[in-house]
Amino acid sequence: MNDDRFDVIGRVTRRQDGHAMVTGRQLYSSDISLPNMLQARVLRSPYPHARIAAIDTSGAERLGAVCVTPEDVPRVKYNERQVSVPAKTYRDRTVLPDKIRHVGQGVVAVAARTEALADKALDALDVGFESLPAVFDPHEAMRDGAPQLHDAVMLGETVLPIERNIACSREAVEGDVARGLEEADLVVENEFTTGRAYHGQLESKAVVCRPEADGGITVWATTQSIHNTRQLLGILFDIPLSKINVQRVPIGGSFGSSIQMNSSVAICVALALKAQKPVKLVLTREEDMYDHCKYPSNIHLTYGVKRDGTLTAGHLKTVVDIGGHNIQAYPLLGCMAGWFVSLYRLPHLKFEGTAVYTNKAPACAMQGYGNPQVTFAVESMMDTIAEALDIDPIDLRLKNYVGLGETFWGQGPTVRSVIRSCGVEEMLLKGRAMVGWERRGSPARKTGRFRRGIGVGRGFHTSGTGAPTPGEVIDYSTAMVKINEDGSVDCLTALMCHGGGTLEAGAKMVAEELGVPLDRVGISPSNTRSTGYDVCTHATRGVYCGGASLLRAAQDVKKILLDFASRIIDVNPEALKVQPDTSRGQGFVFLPGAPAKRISVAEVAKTAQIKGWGSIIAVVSHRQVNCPPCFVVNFVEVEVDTATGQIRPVRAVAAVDAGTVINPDLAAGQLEGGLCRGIGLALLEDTTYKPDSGELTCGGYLTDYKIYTAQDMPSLEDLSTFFADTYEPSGPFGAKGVGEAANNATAGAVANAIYNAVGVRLTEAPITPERVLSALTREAEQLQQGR
Amino acid sequence: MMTKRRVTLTVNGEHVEPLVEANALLVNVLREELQLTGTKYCCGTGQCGGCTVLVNGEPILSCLTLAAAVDGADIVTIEGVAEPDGSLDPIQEAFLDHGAVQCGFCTPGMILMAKDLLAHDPSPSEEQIREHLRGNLCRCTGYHRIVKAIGSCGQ
Amino acid sequence: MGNTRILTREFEYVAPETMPELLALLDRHGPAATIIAGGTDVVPQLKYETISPDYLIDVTKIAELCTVRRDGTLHIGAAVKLRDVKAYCRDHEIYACLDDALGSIGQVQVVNMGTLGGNLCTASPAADAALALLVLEAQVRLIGSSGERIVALDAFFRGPKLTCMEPGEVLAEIQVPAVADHTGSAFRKIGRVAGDISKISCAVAVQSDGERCLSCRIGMGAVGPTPMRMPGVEQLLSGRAIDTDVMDEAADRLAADISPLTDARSTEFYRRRVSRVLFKDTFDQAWKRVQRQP
Repeated sequence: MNDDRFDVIGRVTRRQDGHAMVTGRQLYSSDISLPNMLQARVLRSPYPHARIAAIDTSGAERLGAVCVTPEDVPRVKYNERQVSVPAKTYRDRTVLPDKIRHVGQGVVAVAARTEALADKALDALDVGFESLPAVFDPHEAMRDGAPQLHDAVMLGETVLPIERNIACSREAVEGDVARGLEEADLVVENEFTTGRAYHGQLESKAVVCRPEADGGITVWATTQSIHNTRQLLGILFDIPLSKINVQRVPIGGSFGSSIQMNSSVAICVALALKAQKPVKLVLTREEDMYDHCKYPSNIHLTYGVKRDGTLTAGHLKTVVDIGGHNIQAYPLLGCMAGWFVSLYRLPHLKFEGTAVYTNKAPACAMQGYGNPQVTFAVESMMDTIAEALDIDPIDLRLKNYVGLGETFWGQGPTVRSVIRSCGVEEMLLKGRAMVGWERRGSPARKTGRFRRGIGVGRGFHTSGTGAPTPGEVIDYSTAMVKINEDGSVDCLTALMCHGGGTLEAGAKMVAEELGVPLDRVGISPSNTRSTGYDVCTHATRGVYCGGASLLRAAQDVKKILLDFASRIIDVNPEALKVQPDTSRGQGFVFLPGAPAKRISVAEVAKTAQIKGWGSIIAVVSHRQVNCPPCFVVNFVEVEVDTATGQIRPVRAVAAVDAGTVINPDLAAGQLEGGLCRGIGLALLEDTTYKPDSGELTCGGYLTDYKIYTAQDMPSLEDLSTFFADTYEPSGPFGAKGVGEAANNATAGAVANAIYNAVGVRLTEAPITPERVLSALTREAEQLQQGR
Repeated sequence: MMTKRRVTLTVNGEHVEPLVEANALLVNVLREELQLTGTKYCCGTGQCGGCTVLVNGEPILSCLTLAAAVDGADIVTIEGVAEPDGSLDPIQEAFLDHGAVQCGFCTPGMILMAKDLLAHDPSPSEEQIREHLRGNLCRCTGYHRIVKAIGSCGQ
Repeated sequence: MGNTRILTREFEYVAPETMPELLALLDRHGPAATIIAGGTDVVPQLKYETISPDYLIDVTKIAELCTVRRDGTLHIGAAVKLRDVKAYCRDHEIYACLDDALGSIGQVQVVNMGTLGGNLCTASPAADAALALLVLEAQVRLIGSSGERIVALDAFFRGPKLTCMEPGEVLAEIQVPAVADHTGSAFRKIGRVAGDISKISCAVAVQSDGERCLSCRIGMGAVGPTPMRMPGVEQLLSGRAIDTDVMDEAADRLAADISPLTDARSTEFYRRRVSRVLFKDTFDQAWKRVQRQP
């Protein structure tokens, strides 16, 4: 698996932060404890839609608790997510709400010496609610006379009235769909839905805030963006950014749940500022489940296709139920258009997306950002088309996929670039052989209670959101690299690792560039006061964008290193090379072919210090001007128990085209994890609501929100992963991303495998045993009536 | 106010006598009184295994255990798995070598379950490993590398 | 919304070491007391705020509640850990359905903590061990300060989370009568993921002469207010030679006799449909186990 072109890139190495994790020494936000710290709890609404009539905190205050109510917090309207440019940012919430829009929404927050006391204070609060009619279905919400969640929101600095609960909508058109459908020999049409899966990150959202003597604050929080958290806190609480320090803290999983500055961060800060003591707020699991979920989808999809399998037109209409607040629905719809358009070549296309408010937990990004939803529909349709035209599903995909040299929309209509690396064909063909595609057979010929089927799904994600022109979304990273006086290296960046090894990849790139052994390259702890801006570790941008900024800084540092070395050993810097000598634990600068002209990096750095030449250090802010697709292919084999509707994933092959793979073990781990979550989205996961009360059916407990266990996944032998052999010219050392791509194609592959097993097309995910059995029963009844 | 009682515990080989309230859960006593934050609160309802610790050698869920009920017990948390000199247990080494760690939040529970399994059966089959781990959720890895790492420790 | 991280309820914790002490405590505190053993059910209930005791009485320190002995009848103390019951069943195949049921519990940790008495007193319609014990025709010994009584398990359950126990009574022992020769048993369930709470479960104990079902006991879980015996189906099968027609007839009867609901875990339609399949699979497994016997 090792890559001969490089010293450390592509090699399997132990991750630097692993030791702390296997020994329980890794400190997450929820583990932070400070002297004099108070514990916070939040009173949450039992109503899905209500006015707050009266709040009396005197009982809680008598217990010694510090309380903040909607009256006590800044009235600034904000959006938790700060990735879009201000003019495209919809702002519809305040630190504590003017009105309740979903069960579990926080109303009053308290802080006390212990959590038990804080809980007692919650009980002592007196809050009057005036319940309002609520709406839980997005289609109902758009009808005239439906309960209205928001009268108006802010878009940039403009007041935007909200009508029929439509938070925003987006359309993208190229060509003329009607004409494209007329030109087609076959028109297929179907409707698909995916559920409101819950992120299920194991660490519930957590935050600690310490007010500082200078009027500033220090914050430790579960977030994917320390800088956006800081900027938003600055706006909300009117504190200069120079006095707000947000620390980067390891996070116990995120999957998009902390892309934004979580609303609990602002609540905790408000409490800490009032108490003038450190305050800690860690959501309970049930609070966390009422806080966020994946964007569900309802997709109406139409394709026109020629008899030879050439697509002539595609039309995707979607309604997205975003819940009580709009976190990032506008860019989401843009991306959904991008995912749709960039999967398969469409001479005529139309995308129509509408995001609708309902009285449910706010939906936000969760691995894929609309991509698994769109790809589930599109990949299901590809198989429908292939069957109708009697074309092998893989051949149909090979004929139509958007690949090398073609224009790619990736992150939506405003982010276009040309594809310069592509492993789609390689992955489809190799995967086909690995899974034993020829065993697939036709569902019509399968009999018996247990039936197996094999399905394919393909897809992609973008590596970041970079583009040649500045668009609606901000994307750049800042990094500092410095060579210490013993030849070791410090890397400083605001980039986050969510577990996938992003920072490890950055360290490898720096080690490779500087020729220093990997164990002498350290990732420094970082915070907003010591680092330059980094937009957010999201959008599968960690390695491609964040890594590229570290590489640029390392390149600048290398110039200084070689310049200083040239002064010492009297060789033109242009002629010098670097190489690690792991046996001596040092990097060396040398002139090839001249053994005398060789000096350790440590000696160069030490000499520079002694002679007063200065530190070997560089800071770089870097924007990638592309967001190349990391393609993915999944083959899944399932076994359907036609008597119980239970579906077991028995075999899978997952492949990604990530360009040069930096951390092979961790990249494969991304594929395996993505597959597991993708199967969960396909078969298992959804948060549903009680129609009368607006409460979660599962109550917010994992007792009735299941995620797959080790025993539910295919065996070691039956799950394979591989990487396409590609090189992305715009990527650091040829690398692209993996992250979100890993689960984008899975649900489609699973649905196609089920169809291949039983001959029934299931379009409603999660495809639960209940849905399977109902569908099989309907099918059998129709067959009987047909006779 | 409830009366507090002193409970006697041996935690990772160390004798401790924390003062606890009747309703104190073991997970919170470990995390807050003893500052052993490697034991995690994740679901609170006994579904995820993140709070697993060994009590008298057996894995239990510390989020469903009253501290008062384990008075006198010998407890091992993730902080007690490595040797006192800091050298890692073979299971910990295997987790690092197989890329079995992503965000690391489930890792303490997983490693303690692996310790328990291997103590009873030094060479478990893959099915036994999966069955033993099924009460411990991991959201990152899909379990593949965790199962692989534990399997590699078998004799 | 409760709090699943800490217990907000304040109570006194007492751990008596003898039965008389326990009974005295129960008499003294009446409904203000709740018995706790492994805590795997009581602690979540405290967190959900569905119970609110002032006294929590831990029965696991009472030696006589923690023993297993057999004198033809198997006597399992109510506070015996599920882990120990499981180990015992592994060595005694006649209790195969109980072994299946304990093996189907999600977590090793819960098996280490939970007790057989707790599994029964929880009185969940979906309780796994309870269903297996039901078809083994187990009885429970209840002790109160005014005396003791033995109750058949199917009379013990009265509804969801409801038993026939009077205030001040405690479940002391589970008695499993000797299993007749040529009897096989099995337990199966369907959950959402491996080791999940049952969406639907089934236990069967059948005595056979190789062709005919001499007698049988059938139990269904999560399809009614309590774990349920299926007397209609049992009668239908008794004395009959077992073939697919008979099994279809029995499955039809079973599906008609259950009263499933739609809830967070499944639907009425699904449970009724799948009850037939699950029953046949479970019966088949129990039947095969009889044939395997010498």
